[in-house]
Amino acid sequence: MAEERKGIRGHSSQKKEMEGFNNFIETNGWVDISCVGKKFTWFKANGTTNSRLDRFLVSEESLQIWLAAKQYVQQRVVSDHCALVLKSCTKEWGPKPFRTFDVWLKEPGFTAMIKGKWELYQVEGNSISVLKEKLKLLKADLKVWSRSVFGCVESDKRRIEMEIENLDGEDNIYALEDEGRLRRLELFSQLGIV
Amino acid sequence: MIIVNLNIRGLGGGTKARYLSHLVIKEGADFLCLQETKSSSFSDVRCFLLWGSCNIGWVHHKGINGARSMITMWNKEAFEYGSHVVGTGFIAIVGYHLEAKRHCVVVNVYAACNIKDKILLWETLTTFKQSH
Repeated sequence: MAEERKGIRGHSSQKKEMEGFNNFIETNGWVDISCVGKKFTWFKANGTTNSRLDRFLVSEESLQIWLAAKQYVQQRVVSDHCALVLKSCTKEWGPKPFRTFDVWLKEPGFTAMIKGKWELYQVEGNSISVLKEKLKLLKADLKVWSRSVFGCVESDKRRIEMEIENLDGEDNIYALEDEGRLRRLELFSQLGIV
Repeated sequence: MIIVNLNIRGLGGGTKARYLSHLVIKEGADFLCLQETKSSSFSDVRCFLLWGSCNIGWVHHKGINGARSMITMWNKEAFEYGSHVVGTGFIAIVGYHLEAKRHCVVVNVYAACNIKDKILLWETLTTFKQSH
């Protein structure tokens, strides 16, 4: 593609070459997967010319197995080309970590609630696995408690963002009235809390 | 699947090798594809040093007296080698990816600069793809 080169004047032979390459990619059903990092992979020593000369092409079938595959353009270190890394996640992320939110700690009655719950758990065994099991039970209880106190934070956040997006859209078409602008400010401040 | 790729412009001294083995280990690579190694021959020991492990396989294409030479290496713990095809400007490794439990083909490509050879390479690879 023309935008993959900088500092090179387009000749008709190059246009033909680009068409040939695009045709090659299309015929074989390859996907030029998305790039993370720099746009170009090759830099001329004097800095006048950059190009995307290196890339991974992946078949459609492979993309269904290796989900969310992306190519990561590395920093240029030992060559005038950058190293590329193709990565995807078939990997398991492992057990989810035990998380707390600062906002929980500010909530009156949080500590008492934890203490009360913790004392109720009856787990037998060696101390390490007792701790592990108790944390598991606590996690489940915390989830219920957090929902009841704070609601579902993620979906609230999405709803607010949507409303801001809509107001911005309206603002683009015709300038918002005071009411709309105030509403948007309010939404932004809510987002700060969320 | 994790693949590291680099047109290395000559393997040179230890700096490039250290950069590569660092990158391969940091990324947990299954494959390492290099172009323009500027080497007409490779040995097990050299590859082991590049990867920082002995449990790897490799296929080298020496090009024309080292010019346009390329190499593909893989981690044997991640990939079971089946066969390979080497042609002008490419190395194809056919095998089985253990984690994904799938047969797959990894092709390391180093296209020539002139359009005539490029078209030839595209045709060769298109035929190859159809047969796999």
